[in-house]
Amino acid sequence: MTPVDRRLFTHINWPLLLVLGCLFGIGVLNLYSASGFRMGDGVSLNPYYQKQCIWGVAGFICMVALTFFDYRYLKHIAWPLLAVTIVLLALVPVMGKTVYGAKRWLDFGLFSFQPSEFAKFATLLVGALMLSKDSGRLGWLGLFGVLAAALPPAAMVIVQPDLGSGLNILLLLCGMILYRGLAGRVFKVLLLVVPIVIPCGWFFLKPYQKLRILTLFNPERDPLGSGYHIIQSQIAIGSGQMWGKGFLEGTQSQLRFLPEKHTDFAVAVFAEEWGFVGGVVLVALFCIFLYMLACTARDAKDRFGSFLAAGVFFYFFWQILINMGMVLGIMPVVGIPLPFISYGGSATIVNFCLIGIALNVSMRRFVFKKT
Amino acid sequence: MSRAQKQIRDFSRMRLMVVGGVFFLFWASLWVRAGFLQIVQGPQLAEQALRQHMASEYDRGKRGVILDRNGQLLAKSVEFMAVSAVPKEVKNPEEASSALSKVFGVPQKDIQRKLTSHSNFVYLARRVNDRAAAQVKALNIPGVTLATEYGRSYPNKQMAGQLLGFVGYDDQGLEGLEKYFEPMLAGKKAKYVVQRDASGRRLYLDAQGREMANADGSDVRLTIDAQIQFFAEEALAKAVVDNKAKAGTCIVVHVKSAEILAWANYPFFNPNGGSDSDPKAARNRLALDVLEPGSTMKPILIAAALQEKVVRPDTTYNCEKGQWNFQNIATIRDTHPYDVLPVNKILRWSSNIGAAKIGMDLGAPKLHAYFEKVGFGQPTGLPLPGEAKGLLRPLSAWSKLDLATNSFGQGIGVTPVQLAQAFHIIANNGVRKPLRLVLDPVQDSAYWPETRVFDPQVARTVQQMMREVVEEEKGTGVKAHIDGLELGGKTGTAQKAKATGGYGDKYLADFVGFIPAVDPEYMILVMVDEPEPNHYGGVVAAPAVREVAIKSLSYLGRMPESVKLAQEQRPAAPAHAQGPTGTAPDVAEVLGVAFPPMNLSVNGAEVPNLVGLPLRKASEILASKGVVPSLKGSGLVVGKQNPAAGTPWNAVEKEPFTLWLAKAS
Repeated sequence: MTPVDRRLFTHINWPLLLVLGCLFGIGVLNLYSASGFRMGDGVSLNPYYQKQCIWGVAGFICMVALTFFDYRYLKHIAWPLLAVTIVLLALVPVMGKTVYGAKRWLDFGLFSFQPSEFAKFATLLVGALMLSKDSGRLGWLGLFGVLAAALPPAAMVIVQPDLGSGLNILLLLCGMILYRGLAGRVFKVLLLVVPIVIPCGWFFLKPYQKLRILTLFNPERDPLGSGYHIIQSQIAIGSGQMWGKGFLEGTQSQLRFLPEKHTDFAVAVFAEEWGFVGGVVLVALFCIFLYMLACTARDAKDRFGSFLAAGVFFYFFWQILINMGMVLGIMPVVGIPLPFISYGGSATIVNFCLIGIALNVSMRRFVFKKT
Repeated sequence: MSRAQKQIRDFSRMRLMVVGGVFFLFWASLWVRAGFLQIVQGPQLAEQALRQHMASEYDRGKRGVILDRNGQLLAKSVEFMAVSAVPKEVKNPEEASSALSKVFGVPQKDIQRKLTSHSNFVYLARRVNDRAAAQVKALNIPGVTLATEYGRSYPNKQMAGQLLGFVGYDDQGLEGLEKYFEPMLAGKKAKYVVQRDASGRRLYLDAQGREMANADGSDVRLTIDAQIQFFAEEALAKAVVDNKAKAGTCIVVHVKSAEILAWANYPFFNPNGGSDSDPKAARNRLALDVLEPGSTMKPILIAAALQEKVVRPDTTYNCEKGQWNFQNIATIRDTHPYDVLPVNKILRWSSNIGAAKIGMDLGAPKLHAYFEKVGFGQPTGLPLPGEAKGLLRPLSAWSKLDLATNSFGQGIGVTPVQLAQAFHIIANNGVRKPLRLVLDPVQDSAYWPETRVFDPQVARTVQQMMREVVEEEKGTGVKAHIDGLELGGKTGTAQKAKATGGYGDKYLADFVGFIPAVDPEYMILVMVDEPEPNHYGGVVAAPAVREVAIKSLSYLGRMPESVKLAQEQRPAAPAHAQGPTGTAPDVAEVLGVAFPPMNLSVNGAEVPNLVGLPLRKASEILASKGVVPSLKGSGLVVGKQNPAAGTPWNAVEKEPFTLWLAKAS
């Protein structure tokens, strides 16, 4: 490892860090509000915002650690990580811990974690490695190669069941493939096949998942059941109107009408309290954030770095899009959190780690340029 | 740059634009959707939010109190606790019901059935005592709540029970004055808005629009004097019990103001509920019992005859030696045979034959007209729900015999209060003034202009004749005589009609007394229903009138000095704390007569020991003394009191009465 020289420090993508800081700050502030709920004679607080701060610090340390070495070393651990991930994912059904009816956790006594988080890294690294090997558009062979490597972990995550994480992995991979570009013939075939295949996925969905999709089109069919989330979320956002109800004044959230208000629906709390104006600011921040990741991909000094950054870009892009779409009632309810805004320990750490990789790519964009 | 390269670059630029465009579309749809929700649908959704966050609740103001003329509490609302539950919030109905059944002492099954019902709200127990409420609170069962509600308390127990009436579970007047003055007494419904959370819990964090101060009901102050009421009830109970009678009534009226000072019905009725409140005793006989008054009708007949100048006081009638065959239809009898009597002696000795002859001379149309003028056959207009209007048959239905019998009070049905009203006209020197039960004329529905029925000299003449009944030799009412005073009165001994027709051996004994006889200040009427074996009004009812008169006059400071000294041997009324003493200990023991809440001025008793009593009980005791304690600390029982037990009451008035509360053990 080359010693970290001073030039690297000056090349750190400070604007990206600033936007990240803003987003995380807004997230914690919003969680503080979302943690509150009214009891008989006052407001009680759940300690979510404090925990989120701790996770944030842990994530930040991981992020910094991930900038200390040249990202090209990641090439060497890509395949081993994938192998380990698959082993761990295979262990989950055997010795996993059941939480909320799904087996996602591996419990090692001292600590427990979700192997699906590893799957995200493994897919990102393997995908970037394979796609960056040669230039030109991806032909059938290349496409199948990538899919063969990345689909097993994604499928294993989906059957846990953890549709959210599984979709995340798939969308990240799809984004990277599209970033690489498909050969015209492949693209044309896929353009025909994919719209036929996707509806078939319907038959693999669990009943509650089907219900969520049906509910999307008509929330009123079951306002107290499957439609409850969407309706209450829309009431929360809509009742914020132009300027919002003010910080800590969100009644939908305080009176616990809004479900999952500190996790998947956290942004609805924000929209309720800060209104359309606040929402525009937040979405703009996310735009800047994504734009910077896109620039990182564009400016990366090599293809591997570029694909890494593109993967990170897509990882966040889809999450932001799906979460906000879900909260706004234009996408089905899938358990995908909003990065930095939703509460979640492992998600926060993974998010920071991925930013760490992007920073790593970004700060080394000028190094070895001549070689 | 080669063409191929340029082509590729163009293509990738195009591709970039397409991809960028697609991404932009995605984002734009988020923005548009947010704008649509927040700006277009915003107001509507905000309203929807408000609707589900806010709930209207209603609360009732406190029911007004009923006071006597001196401000003594006769009825007041007391806070009770009600235990209710929201069944779906009760996690473990079995456990909860077994715990609660121990507290309330009701079968566990009953509570469990309520807790497992599908309704949204059930009452588990109402009007629970403080101890049980504390226990329920300590159990802290989710879904089971304690709420304050008001219950009615009558601190003087059965005093004026039938007059006051009672309230139902929802603090709503069902009988008596409580019912009549419901619109005035009832606390108004006050609406306020509370927040409601997703699980339906009500949050009173910043309840809006609660204006309970204005929602309290108005107080009603009666003309009744609790002290005189007590004397009347005591004397009445004695008269009924001593004469083995069925029931009785007594009314005391202040003549000049037409204010009713006492309104007593026996048997007593305790509106507090419980074992000593027989629903049958709730009957307000004074206003509901329609009775043939008998001889007490004679002064009214004579007043009418004098007014119409049909007779003069010295006009004489042949009283047929006590037996008069009336036109071969019936025989009219007197208790004692008389020959020729002047009008005043017909009244003094109560000759039916003489009265019938006066009636014949007056004629049916005029007698009937006077009956209407004095208020027979119509409700008095007093604030009494369901007051009977009596039985005055139309003139056209009167036969000759009816005229004769009506003249001495048979064949006509009047309520005791109607009779009192008629006599009040004579006592009030011929002016009919509506009797009153409510001190504030604004609240009094029966407030109409005074009308003159008899000339003053006619009324005076009748008053003089009534004086003879008590004060002259062989008068039927001599037993009402009080040394040092001149009373007037009239006895009545009416045979009661049997259900099967004709007259049986049951009697109504009544007596109306004027104090003093001429231009009287007070009027007392006592009726005793079915006394045995003595049934003469002069024997059964007159002594009761006398007793009420003596005690009331002493209390009112209207007793002549000489009489006062004689009476001093026995206190006017037993003191609250001292138990039964005085004139009728036997009656008091038998009947459990309530001892009156004494006015502080007449009562030398001392502060009782309140320590250890439940707060509600202590407050009731103090309320009956007219003391409102200031409370310190929290809890349900009295831990300490100031002033201490044994302090004379007159020393208390200068300092606030303080109770320190303690938790119930």
